[in-house]
Amino acid sequence: MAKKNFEEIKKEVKTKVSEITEIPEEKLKEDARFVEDLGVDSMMALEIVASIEKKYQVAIREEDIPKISNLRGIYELLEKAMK
Amino acid sequence: MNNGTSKSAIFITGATGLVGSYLLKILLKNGRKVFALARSKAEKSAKDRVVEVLNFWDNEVYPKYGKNLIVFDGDITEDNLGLNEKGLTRLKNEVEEIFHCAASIAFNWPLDKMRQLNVEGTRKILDFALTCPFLEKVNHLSTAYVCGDHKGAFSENDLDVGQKFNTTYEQSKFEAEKLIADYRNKGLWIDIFRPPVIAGESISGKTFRFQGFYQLLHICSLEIFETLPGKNILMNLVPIDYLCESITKIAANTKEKNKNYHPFDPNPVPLEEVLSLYSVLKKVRKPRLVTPDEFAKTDITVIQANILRFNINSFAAGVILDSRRTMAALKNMGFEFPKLNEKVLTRLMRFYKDKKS
Repeated sequence: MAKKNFEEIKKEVKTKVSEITEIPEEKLKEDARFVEDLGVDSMMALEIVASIEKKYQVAIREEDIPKISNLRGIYELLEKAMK
Repeated sequence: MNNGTSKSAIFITGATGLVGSYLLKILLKNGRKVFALARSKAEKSAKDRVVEVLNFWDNEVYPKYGKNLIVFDGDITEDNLGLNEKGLTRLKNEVEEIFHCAASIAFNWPLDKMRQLNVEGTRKILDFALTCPFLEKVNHLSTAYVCGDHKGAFSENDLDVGQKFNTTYEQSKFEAEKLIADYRNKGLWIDIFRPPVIAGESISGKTFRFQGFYQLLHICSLEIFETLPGKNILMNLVPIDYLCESITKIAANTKEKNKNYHPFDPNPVPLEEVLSLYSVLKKVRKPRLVTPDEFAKTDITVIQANILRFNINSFAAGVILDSRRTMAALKNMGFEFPKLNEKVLTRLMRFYKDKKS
């Protein structure tokens, strides 16, 4: 099985986030904060990460939860967890 | 003295919330004159916010009955409810019945913030009530989940049964009821209404708050959990229309002072049934419901645990909510709760499912 490169994974993650939040992908800038900028509540942010954990079979650590404030934070945590 | 005519004016707080807005709709349709206290937010005036939510339920109500609605821009946490002298005086001198519905239903606010709205806000309303010369009574919207983690029966007359609380919301509502006991002793007639989990309108499935029941459906549709600690959980669910019709019925007809009411059908729905129905409707895999002990043995991530903490794990499992006294009182008033059957459940779920897609 070919290993996906991380750029492809980032695309998939963005699509997933767009599905869950119902925000179009074009509006999902990496630095846009879920709660303050995109109007996504903190519970939904957790659900997004849980979906990603499930999809990529990773577990995000408790101390990293505060980093889940925007898309970039998710990319970074996922990359770390997949190493 | 309230002789039940449509002349006696009502003061309602929380008119932009789920229960407050539906109560307002019924009261206006019953020909009542209503003063509503609401906050303005962002670019929307208090009045616009109230009218918007009235229109959500039924866009024929405001055009027809709007002349009997007076909206004040205010805030229950502020001195004088955030009203100016003129508004305060008018309200004080005209009001004969209060429906206090304004509260925070947030699941994760810290206790002191919750108290500010749910306890201190209630205190300010009751202090105001004491100044009203023609006030007959206050109807206070509480929650059946003041029962906290109590196991076993919990009826209308129960309050402090040594329980601990699953959320700061439950604790703050409990404390508000304790406060009410003090004000009852000061001579105020205050009736308390304690709904359980509230769902949308039985006929249309409509709602604009998606907590509790809807959060469970949502968790199911995420397909993250293979199992959930929900075996044998029974949900006391009440559609918003059944709830508010029963509340207004009691408020208009009761002769007994200082009573607590559990306005819901005592027959709970098994969580298993709820999730089975929804998983078929939404075409998702239903999580297997297991006991909390069995669930504790499964491997879940910290994030998953956090999600459940404010969801299924804060559901009062093991309490048996007794509403027989309320059912008996309602029967005497000619009201019986319709059955919450599969048809109604499906309507509620369909509204939610279609709203999301």
